[in-house]
Amino acid sequence: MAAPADPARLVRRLRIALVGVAMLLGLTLVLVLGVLFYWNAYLLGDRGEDPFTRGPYVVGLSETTASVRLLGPDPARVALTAVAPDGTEVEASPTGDFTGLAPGTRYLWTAAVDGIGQASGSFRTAPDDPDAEVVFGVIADYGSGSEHQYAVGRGLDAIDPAFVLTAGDNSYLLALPQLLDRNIFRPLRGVMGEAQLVVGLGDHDTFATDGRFLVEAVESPGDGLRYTYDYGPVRVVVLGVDEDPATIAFAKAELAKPWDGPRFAVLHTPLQPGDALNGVLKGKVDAVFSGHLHRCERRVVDGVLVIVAGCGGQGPGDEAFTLESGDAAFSTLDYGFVRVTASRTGSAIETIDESGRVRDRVEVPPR
Amino acid sequence: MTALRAIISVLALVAGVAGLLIPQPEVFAFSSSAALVAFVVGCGAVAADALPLRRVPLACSVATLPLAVLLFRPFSVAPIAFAILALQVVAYGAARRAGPAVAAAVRA
Repeated sequence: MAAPADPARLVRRLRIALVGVAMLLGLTLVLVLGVLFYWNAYLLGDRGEDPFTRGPYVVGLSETTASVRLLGPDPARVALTAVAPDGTEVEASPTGDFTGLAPGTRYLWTAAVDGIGQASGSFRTAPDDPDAEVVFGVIADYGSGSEHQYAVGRGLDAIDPAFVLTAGDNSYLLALPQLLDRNIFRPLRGVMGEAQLVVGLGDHDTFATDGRFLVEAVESPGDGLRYTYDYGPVRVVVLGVDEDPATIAFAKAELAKPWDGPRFAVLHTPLQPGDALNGVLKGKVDAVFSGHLHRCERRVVDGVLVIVAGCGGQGPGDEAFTLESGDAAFSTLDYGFVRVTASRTGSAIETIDESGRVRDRVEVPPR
Repeated sequence: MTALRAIISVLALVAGVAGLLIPQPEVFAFSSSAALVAFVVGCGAVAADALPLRRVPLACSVATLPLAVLLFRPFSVAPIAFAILALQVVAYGAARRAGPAVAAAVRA
């Protein structure tokens, strides 16, 4: 390569090249900073953290009242408001209780923290019309935090239930306070913002804790083991974990009370032929909802319709121990929930899987 | 590099006049475009003033860069733009005075 004839000219060319490289560097810097700015401002933009560590979730609905609970922000910063379709606005008390509501009305609620709406949902107050139709969901053996449970929770939310009944084993392996959000409140957050979770306890819930942490969280009546829940024309008698003298006594006492509308019972352990409870329930309830067996099943046991909703999310550990009942008219291991459409003219009970397909349906005539 | 300084000066003049005549935020279209090009050309001016080293023009070129960044904002467009223009005038005068000495250094 020959030496340049004019070193000054070479230096000038090198300077021009250096200037070009410097400008290219500047352009690159502008592009990189532009991308970072766009990324931060529009793609990673801060939408704010969810201020709620639990809920808001509905713990009570009557014809004229509703109760919504939440955990997280200082209650003084939270304003809960419910609005009726006609625009009537109701402010909740500091504890989250609405009063003076209209029966059978869907209210849109908003939880604002420091004036910013951070959560919204809706609930329907219980109807005062004895002929009203009520739709509710049933799940059991669900509290695992699994993706199936989340799917079941979304399905429940989609059917727009008035309330959701659980037939036990709400939290695996135990109903410890540290597990409740993972196993119950997060997977079911959507539906629990719109419908009360009417909790029946199972053996996993009561083991070691008697289910008291769960009972306190959802504000079940009494000790949460046995109680009666009414929503409009529907009555649910929650009988506890399994058949024992206390369960039978409670069932006899509650079922002796007259009830004109649809009436259902919840017992975690499914009835078996020959159980003493069968005679108490026969003709007094439209169906008994159970869990324990991690299947969804429909059976008739000594004249009592038994709906097992044990496919709520935990799933079968070992299929060898999760066998279909011999007298089952329908049985599946697939995850899902039960939808009940109840009225004085009869009820329809459907098992819906996590894909949204109706897998079983039974019409229940009025008692 | 007189050409680079001339480009920056024209951009600063256009942005300054726009800042005086056009309200916010419409002026952003002019100021941001001028700022983008002024920053890129300013990087070239820094390199040109660094080799060979010309202290005053280099300082002016370096000072142009943060002012160009400030010009991205649609606020105080005219003062910033005229500050950039003033820097180029100072740098041009200093470069002309240092011109013969630098030329001799390059030749040596």
